[in-house]
Amino acid sequence: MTGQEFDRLVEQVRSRQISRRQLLAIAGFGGAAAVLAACTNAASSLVPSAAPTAAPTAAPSAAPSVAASPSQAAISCDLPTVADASAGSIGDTLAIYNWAQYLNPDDKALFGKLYNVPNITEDTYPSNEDMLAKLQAGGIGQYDIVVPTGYMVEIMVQQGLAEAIDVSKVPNLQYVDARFNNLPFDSGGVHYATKDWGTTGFGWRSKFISEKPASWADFWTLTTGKYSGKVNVLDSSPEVIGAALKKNGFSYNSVDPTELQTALNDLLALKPHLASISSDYIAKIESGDLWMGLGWNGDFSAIKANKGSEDAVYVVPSEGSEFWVDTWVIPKNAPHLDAALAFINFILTPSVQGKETDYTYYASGESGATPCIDTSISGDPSIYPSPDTIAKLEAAKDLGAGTTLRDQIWTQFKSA
Amino acid sequence: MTVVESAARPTAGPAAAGTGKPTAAARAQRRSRLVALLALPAAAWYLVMLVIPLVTTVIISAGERGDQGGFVPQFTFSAYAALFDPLYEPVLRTTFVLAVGGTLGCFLAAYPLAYLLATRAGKRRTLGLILVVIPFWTSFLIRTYAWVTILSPTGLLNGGLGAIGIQPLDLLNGPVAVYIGILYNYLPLMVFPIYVALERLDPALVEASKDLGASRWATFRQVTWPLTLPGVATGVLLVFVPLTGEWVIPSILGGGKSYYLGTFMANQVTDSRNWPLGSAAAVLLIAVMLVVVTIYLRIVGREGLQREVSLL
Repeated sequence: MTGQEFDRLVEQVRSRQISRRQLLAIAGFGGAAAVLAACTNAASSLVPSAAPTAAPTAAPSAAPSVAASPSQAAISCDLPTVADASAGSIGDTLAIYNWAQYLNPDDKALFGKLYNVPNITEDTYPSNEDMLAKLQAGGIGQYDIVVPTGYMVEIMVQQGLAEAIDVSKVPNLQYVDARFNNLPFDSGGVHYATKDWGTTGFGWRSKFISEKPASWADFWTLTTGKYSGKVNVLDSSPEVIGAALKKNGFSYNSVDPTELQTALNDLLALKPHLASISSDYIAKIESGDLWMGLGWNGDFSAIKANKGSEDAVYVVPSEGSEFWVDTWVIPKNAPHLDAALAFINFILTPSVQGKETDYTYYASGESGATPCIDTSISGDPSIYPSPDTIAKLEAAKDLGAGTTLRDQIWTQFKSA
Repeated sequence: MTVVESAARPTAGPAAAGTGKPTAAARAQRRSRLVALLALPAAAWYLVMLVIPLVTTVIISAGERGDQGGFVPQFTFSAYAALFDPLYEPVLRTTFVLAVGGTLGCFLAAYPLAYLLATRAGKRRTLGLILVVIPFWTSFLIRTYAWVTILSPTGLLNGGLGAIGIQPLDLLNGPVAVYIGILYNYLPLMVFPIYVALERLDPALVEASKDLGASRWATFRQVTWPLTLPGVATGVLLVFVPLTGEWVIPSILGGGKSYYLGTFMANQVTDSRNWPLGSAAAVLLIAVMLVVVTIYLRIVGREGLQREVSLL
């Protein structure tokens, strides 16, 4: 079915897979440069420490300059060795169900090597809903690790599809920043381990837009005024309705009919000025067909990394916005529970987190891992926003019965 | 397509069974067992790919949305009632307008083309037919995306217009682009049935009509048109039915600024996780299609149908 093909494509964009793939080409280039740098600095103290593990040594990338920073002395950016792997038997198999290109293959291989788990399988899904449907339709008992976004954790917990994580077996959870514990989608916070996080905001090409919009109000003013017909919003109701709510000072997760009506009025005012409502917009901003768009930070990282559209700017609006969190979750009846726990513990090692972010371009949930990350990523405010900005972010949650009301608002916006 | 094939099935079965010679009763029985065995793969296919999904959809449409989405088994028509909320009226209207408009556009473009190919192309007829088919060798999705690069503000069309000093046209993300996409993608589905009907038309009938003094227009109206009507009806069916669920073209070329039933259903199953509402919309669509197919059968008739199917 072509409809499905299309769906998949859209979901790829939505799942940030395409942005990641585009980035990969650039990451590959950067990686080569890093290897060169490592060769010229062969005398540097950083290279030998990574060598004994014979791990993917091409990786110890741009960390050098930052790792020297004394304040982070407590955390080592050396990758784990066999000595760090606990001795207990965890079996030889691990089945991962993940978004495409969302786990650094080097880290996966290193885990297999250190923990003696030769059979690591990784299936991929294009959306949270696909993953949920597969688990509900008999996928339970097949996978040890899945990667739901926050709201989907809530659904999985309520449907009894998520295993509580035995914290004693995942000591590296201590490195995760406190603000990622106990998020509203899983009160108690025992069913997930934070994988990475990002924001929803908007971005534009400074080549075409000389103003420096900083708020949702600015986004509305420019879209309905000077740049009418050059702006895209995502074809996704939580983000778009959430933006209109935030503009008016309401919660991103509001299901209050009066607040939603206010948001709808704003959305209806925006609609005639939009060029398109599409999740497939990255290439059009790169080509200059679109000048501004509401989207995720990862999308604009991809746009900035693209040759010819380096002038792209992304902001988290001053009224506040959403931060989304992707997580590691162990589904119920996981066939290799011990391997799953060992994997989560391994991946939460700050040095491994650094390699993950270098690969995915998404911010780690561990600030301690920052020195282990390529400075071009850790110094990018669209990936690592300032603490002031972070303070104004709200986590999206599943809205339960309220989803129906939000869907009606979305229908009115889309069919207007 | 499925509808047409399944409609043809009953006639194929008995015909094959009827050829058995009335020798030994046992032999006839063995034969009918063989026929049943041969029919098994097809029957299994229809059961797994058509009947079970359809029944599941109907069952879900009678349920209610759970608090986290999905569905709670129930026996209620609330999802159907919700569909008739004035809220969804624009969705149904835009879908209907798109399907009717797209079908009409395809017909207006396809009939003259098919006529030309069938009666005036001469030796170049095969070449013409191949040219109509060639785009089908490429993925539907890629063909549709190709139009984005042509129609976009910085695209080929505006590049060409700019070179000869004409103001750029803002066609992408609007109805013009959507209709171009529909015409481009669906045209062959309309051309071929009409072409086949015209091609099979006995030229002697047209000559006879002329000999009897009818004008060209009268000949067309009284001879050609009625005899090619089954072909037109088949073309309309092949275009109209998929168009009612179409959402790829409006999403890519229309900028997603209109809400169609296809998009709506996809959205209910994914983002809004309201399976009953999405399923009810699907069942409603199937009901409408049944009406359309019934009308089609009236026009074409049973024998006509067999002929059309055998030529498809």
